Amino acid sequence: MDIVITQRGRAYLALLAFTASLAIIADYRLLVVFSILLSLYVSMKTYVEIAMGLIEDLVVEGSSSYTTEREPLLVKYRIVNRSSHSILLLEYSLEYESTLMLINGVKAGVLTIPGKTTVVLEFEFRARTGLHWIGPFKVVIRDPLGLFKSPELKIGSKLELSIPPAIDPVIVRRLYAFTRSIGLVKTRTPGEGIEFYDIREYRPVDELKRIVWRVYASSGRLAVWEAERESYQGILYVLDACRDMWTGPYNQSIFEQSARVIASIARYAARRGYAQSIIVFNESQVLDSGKLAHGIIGYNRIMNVIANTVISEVNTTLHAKNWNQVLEKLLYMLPKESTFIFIFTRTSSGRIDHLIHLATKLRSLGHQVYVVTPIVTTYDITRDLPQSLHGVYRAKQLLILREDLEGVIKLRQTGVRVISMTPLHVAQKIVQLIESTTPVHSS
Amino acid sequence: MSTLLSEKVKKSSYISRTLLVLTLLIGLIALVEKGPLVPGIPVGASPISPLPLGTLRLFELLSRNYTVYMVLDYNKLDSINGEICVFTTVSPEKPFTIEESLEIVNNLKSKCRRVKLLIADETVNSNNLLVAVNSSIRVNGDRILVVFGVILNSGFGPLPIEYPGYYYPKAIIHVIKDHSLTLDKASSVTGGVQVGYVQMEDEVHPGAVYLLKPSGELIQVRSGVERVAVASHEVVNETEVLVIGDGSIFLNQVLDSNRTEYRVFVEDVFQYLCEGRVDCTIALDAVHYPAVSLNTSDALSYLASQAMKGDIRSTLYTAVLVSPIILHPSTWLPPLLVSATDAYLSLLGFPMVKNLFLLALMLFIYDLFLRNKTTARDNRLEEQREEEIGIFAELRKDVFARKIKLTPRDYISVYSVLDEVAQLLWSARFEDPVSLEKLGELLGDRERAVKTWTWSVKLYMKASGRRRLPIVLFWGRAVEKLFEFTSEFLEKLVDKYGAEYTWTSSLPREGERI
Repeated sequence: MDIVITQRGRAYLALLAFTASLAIIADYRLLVVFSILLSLYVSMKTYVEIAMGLIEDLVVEGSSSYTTEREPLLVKYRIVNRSSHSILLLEYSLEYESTLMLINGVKAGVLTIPGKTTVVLEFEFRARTGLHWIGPFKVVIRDPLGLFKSPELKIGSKLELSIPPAIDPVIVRRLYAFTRSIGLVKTRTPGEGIEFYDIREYRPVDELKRIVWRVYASSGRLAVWEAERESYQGILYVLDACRDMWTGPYNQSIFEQSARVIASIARYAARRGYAQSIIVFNESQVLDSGKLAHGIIGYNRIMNVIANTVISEVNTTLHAKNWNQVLEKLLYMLPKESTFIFIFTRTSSGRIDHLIHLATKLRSLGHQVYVVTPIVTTYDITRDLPQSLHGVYRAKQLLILREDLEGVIKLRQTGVRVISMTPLHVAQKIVQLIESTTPVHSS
Repeated sequence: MSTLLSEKVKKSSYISRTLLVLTLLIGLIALVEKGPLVPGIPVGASPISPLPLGTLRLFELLSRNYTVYMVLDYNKLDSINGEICVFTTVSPEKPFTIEESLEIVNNLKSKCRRVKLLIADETVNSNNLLVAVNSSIRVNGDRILVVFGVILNSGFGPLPIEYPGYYYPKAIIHVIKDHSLTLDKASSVTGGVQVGYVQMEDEVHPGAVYLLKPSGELIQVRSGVERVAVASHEVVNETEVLVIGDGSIFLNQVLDSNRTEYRVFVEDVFQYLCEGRVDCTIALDAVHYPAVSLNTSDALSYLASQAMKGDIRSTLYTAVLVSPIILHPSTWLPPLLVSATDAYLSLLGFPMVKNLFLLALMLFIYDLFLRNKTTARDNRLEEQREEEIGIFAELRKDVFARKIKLTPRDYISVYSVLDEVAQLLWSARFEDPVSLEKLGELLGDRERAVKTWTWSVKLYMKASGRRRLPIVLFWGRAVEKLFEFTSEFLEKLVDKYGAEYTWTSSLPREGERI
């Protein structure tokens, strides 16, 4: 790769050419000045060439630490200069996914790396759900006079980070409280479960950990804590991850809100022992967590799939081919028993026909299908716009809002059940739907 | 692999252009330093000369019937042998020395059974050859002059050319038979058996015959009393010698002319000497003719002189010979550089030209430095841009750029929200007076409700083309105003009914129904 001459370098060359011309035409003694200037020029170029060689020998190691989207995403890069020569004026810029937000650290700057030393660069991002990438570094070497610069070089590797959605413990607690308060989860029979049903006398097959020592202390009899047998339900989430689903403020996009709702419900459903699975699709891929799985296994799979969802680079319309892929996956994954299917998506005009087709097909197979849709404009950003333009912007937004609302109406008119609520209420509504129809098995 | 194939193939030469130019430059300088190859242009009656005064034609003529050797050096004589060997020299430019004459004769005698000499010379240069064979014949080296009238010796030296007369005497030479020939600046010969004489006065050539001695002395030959011998014959020690005091009759210009008597004479001479045998070997002397080495200026002037003579053959021959000189860099490069330097120095005398030179040179050197280099602005590395995805991104851009203008269509759009909500809640169109009553209740301000309702409905009529008034209207302001009202209207509905539609510019409040 060739070294690039900067505009400062070009000006310097013009000076060199002028000196040489004067030496030829006017006074040959100026050749001395020309020689000095030329040697400076050559030495600067040589320096950049040597430094480019040093760059190739740099060792760049990247590491990251994160848990969920709630916690900050820490990325650390160690740049090791193994040679004994120092690298001056190394300009760097960290590349990362444009949808990520850096909250701590300097994403572009100038480094000096002395010989046999290690430089550590730390970056803190706001984590967000999905599969994201960070790195490598773009670097450029310059000479001290700024006459030359190297072409853009890449050092380090790309880190791929799968970040699961966070479960809002408040929502989960409220879900439990809500379902219990209205008696949705009561099977009224003892059995496997987590909810308290009754205290009865100890039998030899009972686990010792279930002995209620308080009763033994007061009455001298061994008694055990008995759980209420939980009901069973199959749930399948279909999550639209197209680019327009990522609309909204950081961590508050439609996709992330939906993912959080799904994570909370999945957590609840896992503890209830329900079998569940998920399909996530966007313009380029369809991910799934396999056949419906019970408990924590199903939950972990769901979280894993959501964490590996990427944001599409280009916003394109979903084609019938994508929807057919989703349907094929669904038909493969769904059990024969009636299953709840919640499709988290928007109701824009491009989706309506496909949604109706999908819902009708699944309903005909005996499943209960719900389209869960937020009102997209609710999530959109207006903070960057000057106040004077707010009115214009909102008025134009209204056209699109109406399109989504009309989509909801159209879906309802065709018999598709639509849930259009805020995240908390969506979770409650879905749990209510599940629990109210869950069959009670007598033991 | 496919990627490799699709890549544009970069062509590059093994030898760079700069290296090529440098090599050429060094080569030129070396050539200049070495100088041109100097061709030798044969002078006189050399058998290698195709010029009019050469004898190449003689060589060609003899080659048809005999074995002919062109003796360019004496080593050539080693390869000559045969029954009869005829050594021939025609008007040698350089004199034979005794030593070389003896060498020639002895060499020939050792190789050939019989040796014969043919000397056609009007100078004394070949007399040593005659001496070498002990011949009594000598070429006198004078000039036979035929003069009309009387020559007066002025005492300041004879200037015969200024007198009426000519150097072309007619002569009769007997070889096999009598040959009547016109000689050209012939010399008289003495000794031996004379076989050729100058024809004295006759009707055709009246006038006195003179001998112009090398000393300048002019001697008249008495007509009828004396004869001027121009050819002699003698056999000495088995070596036969034939001497003719004129070499011009063997020259190219004579043999190529339309006069056949010379060609016949030449054929008879060699038939005589070779005694009609085809195994006769003839050695043509080419040693005693200098080759003129021309320098650059000589070459051009020699070429010019040949061109002036009008002989195309000579001109072309000379041109071919001097072309290496003319084309050689040492001929044109130094004067070119000198001229260029002179022109450059004289031009530098003008300040304007000097400045222009300076500028041009500077630009040239600058371009030379930048050639094949990549240049770019010294911008800092582009930082990673962070992006918030919004479905209204394009809309936002357009609004920012103020590309978008609000139109009656936008007004209808906003109004339709009011209308739909009115139908949903009150089962009446917004323009219906029933809605006005409900609106008053909702806003809690009857007067404001009437004012807003009237204004909204009136502009809706205009936007939908059902009314023309008001004539002057800014739709941008009208739409924004209606939007503000719609927002307020929907918020009131949320507060009162928990309505189906809510419009908000901020994040949804927890528990808010949409």
